[in-house]
This record gives sequence, structure tokens and C-alpha cells, in this order.
Amino acid sequence: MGPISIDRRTREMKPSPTYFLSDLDDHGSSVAMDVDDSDSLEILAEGVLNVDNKLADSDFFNSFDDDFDDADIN
Amino acid sequence: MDSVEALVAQIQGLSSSPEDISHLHNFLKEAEELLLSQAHRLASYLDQLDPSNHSLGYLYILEAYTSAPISKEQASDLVLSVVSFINSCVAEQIRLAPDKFISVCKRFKDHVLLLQSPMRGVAPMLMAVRKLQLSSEHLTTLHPDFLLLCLLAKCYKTGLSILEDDIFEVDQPRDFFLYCYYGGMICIGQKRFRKAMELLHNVVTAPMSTINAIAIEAYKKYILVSLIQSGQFSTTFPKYTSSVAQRNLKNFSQPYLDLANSYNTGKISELEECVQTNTDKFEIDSNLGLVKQVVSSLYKRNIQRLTQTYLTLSLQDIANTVQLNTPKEAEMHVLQMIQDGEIFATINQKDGMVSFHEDPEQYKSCEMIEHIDSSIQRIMTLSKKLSAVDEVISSDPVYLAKAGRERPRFDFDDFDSVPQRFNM
Repeated sequence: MGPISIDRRTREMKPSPTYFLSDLDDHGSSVAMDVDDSDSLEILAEGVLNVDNKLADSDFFNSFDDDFDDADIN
Repeated sequence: MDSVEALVAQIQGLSSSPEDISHLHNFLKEAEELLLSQAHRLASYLDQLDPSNHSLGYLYILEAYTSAPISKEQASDLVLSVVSFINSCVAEQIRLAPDKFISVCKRFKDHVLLLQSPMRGVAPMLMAVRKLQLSSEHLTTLHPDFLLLCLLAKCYKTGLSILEDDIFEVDQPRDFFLYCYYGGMICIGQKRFRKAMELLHNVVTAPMSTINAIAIEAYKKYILVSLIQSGQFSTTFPKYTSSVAQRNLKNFSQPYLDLANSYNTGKISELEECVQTNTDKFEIDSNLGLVKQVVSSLYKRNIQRLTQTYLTLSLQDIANTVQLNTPKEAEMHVLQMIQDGEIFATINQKDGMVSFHEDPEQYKSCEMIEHIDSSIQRIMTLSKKLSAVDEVISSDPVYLAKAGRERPRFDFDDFDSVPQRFNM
């Protein structure tokens, strides 16, 4: 085995990827309005508030094969 | 209208002009109960009609016919009839009765699933979406059904075509949740992880007054895709996320948060230990495949980190540093990353040395200029849309009432545009 060549160099650190869900700086004087759970969200609500603490849309179809294992490819 | 025969004659005679069709529509509405009562014998009447010329009348009869239960044997013939109708019908006519068209298409979806042939539904459902929607910005209730069929049939590329549209109008919130969740899965299947993150993010941060099962599953996948795409994950939610989501989503996703914490150590051994501990949970969620991609991505991140320090490095050193078993494995990883454009390097197989290079992109090619220009155009269009939406919301009484209630919390200057009478 020949000599190991390890060339080191100092590089500028590439900009670190931004957190996609990080806090965003406020722009202007607006403050994000919290969704008030006691409001009846008439614009986008799906009917009456669920007072039984059950999950909404719990019957949605989600029975898919796990198709994302790359080991299955080739 | 006292008989189906008379109704069919009306359909044949009144389908040639918009005025006639308007009259016909009134007759059809009056005949709904008659059609439902005769559902079991309507098939023969469909044969007397042309779905392209008599689309509206054909739709009413087809909808009534499909409302009755049918056997699995009849389902196959029915599927053929519906496919023929969807392909031939005139969009302007079926848009006069969108609920009936939607019913027919949803039953069609159920039938292809009953026949275990989701592939048969993919192209017709895409056609149905295009005929139903008023514009490419309109999200219909058939969009998630189409994506569901694509997922079951594993037609990821076909599903991707509909996800390129920018959506601005939504009929029902549930459609939006499902569209974004299924769409996220389609993008994962095509390894379009950035787009997948965008769609899953939309589900997680969508307004909700009670915790939503679709959002929970979307959040789990969001964590995994975020690790694959960005190499990191932040547990902080944007401010516009509903308080319900902020309070509850993490409670349903602990194994995934543990995985993210292990990933952050940069140590393969810790990550694999976490995967081992939670394998059952990942399997139940059908997320184990994606979790394995997360593990692969850590190897890639660690190799990418090397390119920031070294100009050349041996495959043996790469294997040792990133905890791969052999130089051959390191070579496979490096080759794949070169192919995917994740690093710029060349491998000298003679001496087992890898040379890392700078990104050759100079950002001055014609293709890059076109790409930047189209992005600018898209952003300008989006900006105009947002301004228009802002104007509409600013005059919405429900919004103004809520803004009025919030008024005492903020400075006068923030809300001086809110009329006093909304200060409730």
C-alpha cells in the first residue's frame, strides 16, 4: 500500500442549511396571530369542535406498502 | 317526467345548445328520484346516449346507476363504462353537476380498488381532475383520490405531474390535508425531497381546531425527510402553526424525535441503535424504508463533511472515518453521490484515491439564466396573488372581528386600519 496522501486545506465553511421550520424573523409590526382554540374557525373549520379529543380524519386511507426501502432497488 | 324513456328522449333532444342544456338540467333535477328508483335497469339507457354529446344527461343516469350496489363481476364492466364516459364527456356540461361527477368518480375509484387494479384508475382519474377543475389553481376533491391511486399503483411519475400546479383554491380542508400528505409521499417516491418537505410542512402547519390524524403521519414523515434532505431537524414550529399542532404533534412522534437526536450526534452506531430500538414502531407506520434512507443519508453527510477539509483522501480513510466496513463500500457511496450531484469528485481506482473538486457551476449558462428567470416570474406572480388575497381578507368580516378582539393586545399603529366598530 502506497503512502497515504492527505491534503488538508482550509475552506470557507459553506453556509449551513437553514432550519426549514426555524423561527422566522418578524417583518413589520405584525405579530403572528395564534389560532384560538375557542374560536369556531369558520373560514377553514370542519364543523363543530371535537370535544371528545378524538383525532380528526382518523379514518383516512393510509394502508400503503412501505415502498421507500432503497435496498429493494437492484 | 314519468318515465326514463321520456327522459332519454329529452336528453337526446336538448343537448345541442347552452340554452337547451339549461332546460334539460331542470328536467334532470326533477327526475332524480325516478332515476334512483330505476337504478337497477338504467344500463340499457346509457347505450342509447352518446357521452360526448349528451354528457350532462349521461352523467345523471350514470350517477343513479352507480348508486346501486353491484357485484365484483359487474364492477369490471362498470369501470369500462365510467372510463369511456370520463374520456368522452364535455367538461362544460359536467361542471353543471359537479357533485354528481364527483360521486361517479369516487365510486369508480372504489371499484378499481375492489378489483385490486388501481393502475386502471390512474389515467381516467387524472382526466377527471382536469375536466372538473375550473383552473390549474383549483384543488378538487378528486385530487387526493388520484394521488391515492398513483401511490397504490406505484405510478409516482404520473402523480408528480399534478403536484407541479400551484394551488390557490381549496374546496374542503380535508382535501388539502390529503393532497399534501399523499403528494409528499409521491415526491418521496421520486426522491424529490425538497418538494416533499414543502407539502408535508403544509399539512403540519395548516389551520386545525383539533389534532388531525393526517397531520400526525405527515409530521413523522416530515422529520425523516428533513434529515435526508437537510441533514438536520428543528423541533421549533413556525409561529403560524396552530396551537393544537404545536401542543400535540410531538406526543405522537417520540421515536422519530429520538431518531433525529441520534442523527445529530453524527455517529452511525448511535443512529443504528435507535433504529433497532424503534424498528417495530417504524414498521407499524410503514416508515422503516424511509428510516433506512435516513441512515444512508448520514453516511452521505459524513462523506460530504470530508470534502470541506480534504482535497484528496483514500477510500480506506473514507471508510474508516464514516464507519463503513470496506473501501469498496466507500467507493459505492462516493460513486452514487457523484452520480446524484451531491459531491464533485473523481476516483482513481488504481491507487484508491478520491480527489474532491469544487462545484463547476458558474451560474452563467443559458440554462441557469432561464431557471433564474422563470423563478423570478413565478415569484412575481405569487406576489400579485398574495396582494389580492390580502385585500380580500382585509375586508372579511370574520377576520376583522377577530382582529378587533386582538386589538387591545397591540399598539394602536398596528391596527389603526381596523374600523372601531370591530373592536369587540
